[in-house]
Formats: sequence, C-alpha cells, structure tokens
Amino acid sequence: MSTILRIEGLVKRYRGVTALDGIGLEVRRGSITGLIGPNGSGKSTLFDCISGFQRQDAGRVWLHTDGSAHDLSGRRPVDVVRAGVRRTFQQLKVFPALSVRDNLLTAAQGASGHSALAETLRLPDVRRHERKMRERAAQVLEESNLAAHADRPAAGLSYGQKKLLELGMALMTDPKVLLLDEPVAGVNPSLIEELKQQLLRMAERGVTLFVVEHNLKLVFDICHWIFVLDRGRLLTAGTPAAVSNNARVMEAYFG
Amino acid sequence: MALGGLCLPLLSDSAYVLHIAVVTGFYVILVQSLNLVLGYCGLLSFASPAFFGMGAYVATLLALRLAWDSAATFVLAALGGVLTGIVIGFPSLRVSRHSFVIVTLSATLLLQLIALNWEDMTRGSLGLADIPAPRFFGLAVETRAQWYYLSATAAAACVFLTWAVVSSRFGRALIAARDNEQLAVACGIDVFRTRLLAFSLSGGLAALAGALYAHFISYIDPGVFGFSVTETLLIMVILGGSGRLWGPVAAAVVFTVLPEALRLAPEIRSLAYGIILLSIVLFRPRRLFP
Amino acid sequence: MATDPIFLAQLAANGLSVGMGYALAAVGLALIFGILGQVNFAHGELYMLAAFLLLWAMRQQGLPYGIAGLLMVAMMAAVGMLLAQGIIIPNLERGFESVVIGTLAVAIILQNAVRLTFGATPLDIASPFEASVVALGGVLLFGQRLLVCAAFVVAFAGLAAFLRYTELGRAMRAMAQNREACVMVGIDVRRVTRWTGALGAALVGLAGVVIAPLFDLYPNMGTEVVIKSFAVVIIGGMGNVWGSALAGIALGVAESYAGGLGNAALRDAIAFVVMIVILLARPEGLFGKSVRV
Repeated sequence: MSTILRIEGLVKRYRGVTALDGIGLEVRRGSITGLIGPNGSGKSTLFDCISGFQRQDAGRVWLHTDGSAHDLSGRRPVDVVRAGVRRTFQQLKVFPALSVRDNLLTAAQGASGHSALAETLRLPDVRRHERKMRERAAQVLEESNLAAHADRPAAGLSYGQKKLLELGMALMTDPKVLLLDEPVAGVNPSLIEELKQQLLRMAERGVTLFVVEHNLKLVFDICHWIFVLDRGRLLTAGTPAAVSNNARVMEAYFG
Repeated sequence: MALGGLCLPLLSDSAYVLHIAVVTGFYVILVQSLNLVLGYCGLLSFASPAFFGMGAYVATLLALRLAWDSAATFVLAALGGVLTGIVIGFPSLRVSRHSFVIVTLSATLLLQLIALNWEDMTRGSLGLADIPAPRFFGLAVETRAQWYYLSATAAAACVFLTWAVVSSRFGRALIAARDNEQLAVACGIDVFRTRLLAFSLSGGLAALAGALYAHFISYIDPGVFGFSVTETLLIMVILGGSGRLWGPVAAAVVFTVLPEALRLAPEIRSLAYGIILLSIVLFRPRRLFP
Repeated sequence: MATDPIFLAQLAANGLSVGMGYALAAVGLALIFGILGQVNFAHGELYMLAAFLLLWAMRQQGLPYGIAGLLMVAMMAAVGMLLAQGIIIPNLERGFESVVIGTLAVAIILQNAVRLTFGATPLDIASPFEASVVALGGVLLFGQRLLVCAAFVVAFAGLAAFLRYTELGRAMRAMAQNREACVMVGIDVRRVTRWTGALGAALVGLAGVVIAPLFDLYPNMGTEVVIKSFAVVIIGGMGNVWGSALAGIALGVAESYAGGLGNAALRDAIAFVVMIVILLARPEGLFGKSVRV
C-alpha cells in the first residue's frame, strides 16, 4: 500500500549499448525519492520509459493508486499523464509564445479528455473546466511569485522563473507522482532555495516526488530515500546518510 | 471597409473586376487551409492541390451525373476533402516531418495521376466541361454579382471558422504542439490526433474552394491538382504572417489583385514569387514558420 | 508477339539503360539526403539547366558535344556548391523546411528563367551518338543509350572509389552516420556540405547531359526527373547510394516491361505506388529514429 510506483526488471538497449540492465525499484507514496548516478548511468532513460517517451525492451512499470495496480508499461505519454504521472525535462521546456497563464492552462487541458469539437464550440462543460483551471492557475501563479507576469509571453521570463513555471505546469493536474529531471540544474543558489521550498510544499500536499539530480547537496537535504544508478544497474539504495557514506557511490561518481 | 465590400458589385459593373474579386474569395479560403497546417501546426504541407482538386472533382461529378442541389454537393465536396485529409494525414503525421512533406507531395501527384487515368470517371485529360451554375435550394448563382456574394460569404464563413478553431482551447493545443512538441505531449496533449483534426479541417476548406472554383470556371481537368497554386499560397501565408489570422487574408487579397493589376505574364509572376521566397529564406528565415 | 524472346530482350535492354539513367539522376539526391539530411527540391531543375545550357553551348558557342558536356558537369558542380553554401549551410541548425522552401524557390526561378529565355517550344539536342545503333543478336542498342550506361558505370565506379579512398569521401561517409560526432572529431561540416552539394549537382548534371539528347527539351522537364528521383531514393532506402543504383535499375526494367506488356498508365503508376507503399510501411519514416514522441 505504501508503494506508489514499482519498476520491475526494466531493460532498454540501443544498438549495442545497454542503457538499463534490469532495473527494479519501488517508490514510496508521499516520499521525496532521489535518483542519482554519474552521467550515462541511465537516469533519463528510466524516466523516459516510465513516462512513455521511450518503450522499454523488457520489464514493467506499475502505478499503485485508487486501490489497484495500473500497468503503465509501453503506454503512450498521453495515457501516462492521464493516469496521474507527470514529468519535467532535463532541458527546460515552456511554450515561449504563449502567455505564462496560458502555459499553465495548456498544461491542464490535455488530461481533461474533451474532444476538439467540444473545445471549438466552447461547450458549457469545456467552459466550466477552463474556469476551474483558471482558478487553479491563479493559485499556482501566487505560489510561484509569477502573478505579475501572468499575461506576458513565457519567453520573457528569466531562466529561474521559467523553472518555477515548469514546476507549476506539472502541478496543474494534481499529479500523483511527479518525475523531476534535474529541477535545479543551471540555477543560481538563491533560486535553488526557492525551488527547494516549492518541492517541499508539493510533497506536503501529498505529491510523490521522484527526483533526478546532480546537486548532491540538495538530494541529501530533501530526499527520504535515494537510489543510485551506475551504468544501467542499481548500485545501491538507502537513506541520505547511508548513501553519502557509501564508498562505492563516491567511486562511481568520482572514479 | 465591410460596407465597401458589400457594395462592390454596385460600384463596378466591370465583369473583370468582379471576376478578380470572386477569385480572391477562393484564395482567402485556400489561405485559411494552408495557414492551419503551416502556421498553426508548423508543418510544411504540399497537399493543398490534392484537397482543392478533390473538392473540384467531387462537386463536379455530383453536379454533372446526379444533378443534386449544390447545398448537398458542396457539403459532400468538403467532406471529401476532410476524408482525404484523414487518409493522407493518418500515416504521414505519425512519422517524421520529412516524411510528412514527401507524403503530402506524393499524395497530390498520385491524385493527379488518378484523375488523368481514370477516364471513365473523369474523362482524363479531356476534363469535364459545362459544369452548371450552382443551385442552392433552387436558387441559381449565375451572374457575376451573385457569384461575388457567394464567394464573399463563403470566404467570410471560412475565416470565421478558422478563427473559432484557433482561438479556442483546441487552437491553443495546436500552438503548444507547434512550439514544443515534447512538452505538449508531456502535458497530456494527444498531438497526433490534434494535428490530424486540423489537417482534415484544412482539407475540407481547400475542397470547398475547389468546389466553388469548378462551378465558377465551369471546366476542370487534372491540372487542378497542379503544383503551381502551392507557390502562390506559400507566398500568401508566409508573407502575410504564418500563424496569424488576418495577415494571410490581406496577403491573399494583395497577391490576387496585384499580379492582375500589373498584368504580369504567368512566368514573370512565378519568377517573382520564386525570388521573393528565396529572399525570405536567405534574409528573414524566421518568417517562414512562426 | 508478347512472348517473343527478342522483344523481351529488347525490353530488358531498354529498361536497363533507362534504369541506369534513373540511377544516375537519383544518386545526387541520395547523397544530399544521406549525408546532409536535406531534401533538394531544385534537383530536377539542375538536370534541366544542364540540358539547356548544353544546347546553348553547342548551338551558340559551337562547342562539340563532349567538351560542352564536361563543361556542363563542372558548371553544375559550381551551382551545387553555391546552393549548399547559400541555402543549406545557413540553415544547418534550423528546421529542414527552410531548405525545402529555399531549394523550391530556386527551382521556380530556374524553371521560369529558362522558360522566358528559351520559350516553351520543345527543343532538341543533336548528339553525335544519336544516329549510331549496334545490333546484338536482334536486339537494338542505341548509341546514346549505351552512353548513358557508360556514364552510369563510370560515375558509380568513380563515386565508390572517391567515397572509399579519399579523405573527403571518408568525411562524407562519417557525416552520413553521425553529424554531431563529426564536429567533435574535427571534421569541417561546412566543407563537407559544400562538396556534397557540388557532387550531387555534378552527378545530376551528368545525367542531364547524357540523357537529354534522347528526348525533347522543355522547361518543365525537371519536374518529372525530381519525382522519379524521389521515388528511386525512397525505394532504394534513404541516402543509400547503392540502394539507389539498384532501385533505379529495377524501376527502369519494371517500367519497361509494364509499358511493353501492359500499358502506359501502368508504367507511370509503378514508381508511385511502390514509393508510397514503402513510405507508409516504414514507421520510422525517412530519417528513421527508434524513439518517437
């Protein structure tokens, strides 16, 4: 019951390179779980397989929610989002031409399942959903300190503000699990603190966070549990204290 | 300006001016069609002639063989365009953007080949002549002035329809998918289905233009699938502002009227279009796509 | 008569020479697809330009066919390099659609410029090989067609040697495999792009020089060439030079039999139908990647 995301025997190969070599792990509900490892260890590939952006060669991905287990293996990204799992990307992604508010609204509409015809005709059901989403967006804008920029194109935001927007977008559909791919990469230290507070707030609200990060200080600070990947294999797992003291982990990272 | 538009047939008796005005209306519709795909989906499509020709032939064959009321034949022609869009779009939107360009081009060429060779249906290169005036619920559209109102109404309706689509949530999804496809997918947007719908709609629009054209000129042949209209449409959409609503409409008017006003020979006009397109690629490539 | 072995052999001979012509015309497109990842919509117009300039060189300048032909190949190489420099290189990072529109624009300009200069009346190139015929056991081998075959053999042999043994050729092959890696190993991507453009254009120019005397010249002739070349490249497997050779020859022979034993419509449809089937049957698309979002 306390496991929300379970991965069994995940294998992914590219022409001669084995990116994931039989990964198995469980993420506890409501936790902040870290995923670390040197470059090329397979972290992004794992996220891609969970979120449907790549299809694994073997293994399964289970989402335990609403009392039952949902098999996410091989599902399209659209379906994974609708099941309640969202992700961010290593390379910052926003919709530059849309306003900040529209970015948030767009992040919410995909999962709603309305038909294009209904949307074009602006049927009452769609309008109701838009209204609800606007309220939600207003909340997110407040919490991310972006309210002042709500109607400006997202392209005009600073790098750090875009990172906050990215997080905000992922929250719009109240996901059960959020896969965060290097949420503080390239961000200056003062903003790291702000982002960290956002992450902690999310976790308090009950969102399970699965975080890939190279910023080990942050990882050891906020994560309850950490998985370490090395060359496609699970090297070890444990609490921050255990992992930070593990000689093999240090060796994998620093040679 | 709208008043001026309404009064045009009263201000000018000239059959020539009205003729140009009617054709302008057709181009406005065609521009909506291409802009939906090029401007709002961000995809380079060479399928416009395929849809245009499909609409022309469906409307013509229904009118000549079955003599149905044009209200029905036009709807069916537009549906023909929509179906063609689904058939072409379904395989080609799934794969890479390169494939999309080549498949849309091939589809146009293939339809032209079929029109040339399926002589029982289309009389091949002889074409179909004596296409009657359209009759909507019994009311015939015969004079230039009547054609002008028909064309203007159809164009206005198509612009309105396009506006309704692109300003809606559906349009927002298209723009999102255009600007950052991976992110749109990660937001739960079914990019493939969204684009397929937009592409099919663009097919319906271009087919409607084809149906109108067939009745107006009262003769069509496999040349309706020809590539040359693509050059003109690309210029209109790109110069008018790919992904904007009114810019391309204005460009459609300008680029229909101007070559006529200047009495350019077709080769000179095409040459000019080529030079303009090349200049944009060399000096302002960002204008090509939004 | 349909099963007369001489007739069938004649069809084969014609088909082979037509097919080698297709292959020669298409390989330039395949190189640009394969090495640069770009579609050159001016491909057919380069063929047409070579033919028309050849006519001009022979009629106005009085040059003999051989000299004029070689000159044309060199000129096309220059044009190809110019296209690569002006259109492809500035758009290396941008989407490939800019190159499509750019080369399309060049095609439109060339076609209309030629139409305005030479008029639309079909013209004819008088080649010294036109009259010669060799009879091989009842099968007629026309001189010009033999020239096409010879050009094909020489061009492909030369291309093979160039790609395998020269440094530039190796760089081209490397770029076809992985562009980013090339930058990292210090290969000058721009230089390779320029020379690939030149090579692709030279080859299609050569095709124009040897094939054009067989038919009438008209400004629109490039359109058919580019369509056929697309079909050959797609059927042969994107960017695969040897695939294009095989596909071209196979297509030529298939068309010859379809036309000889069936009808013209069938002959024209083959290239299309096979091309579309292959395009749709390859879910990875033209520049196949295994990851699809």
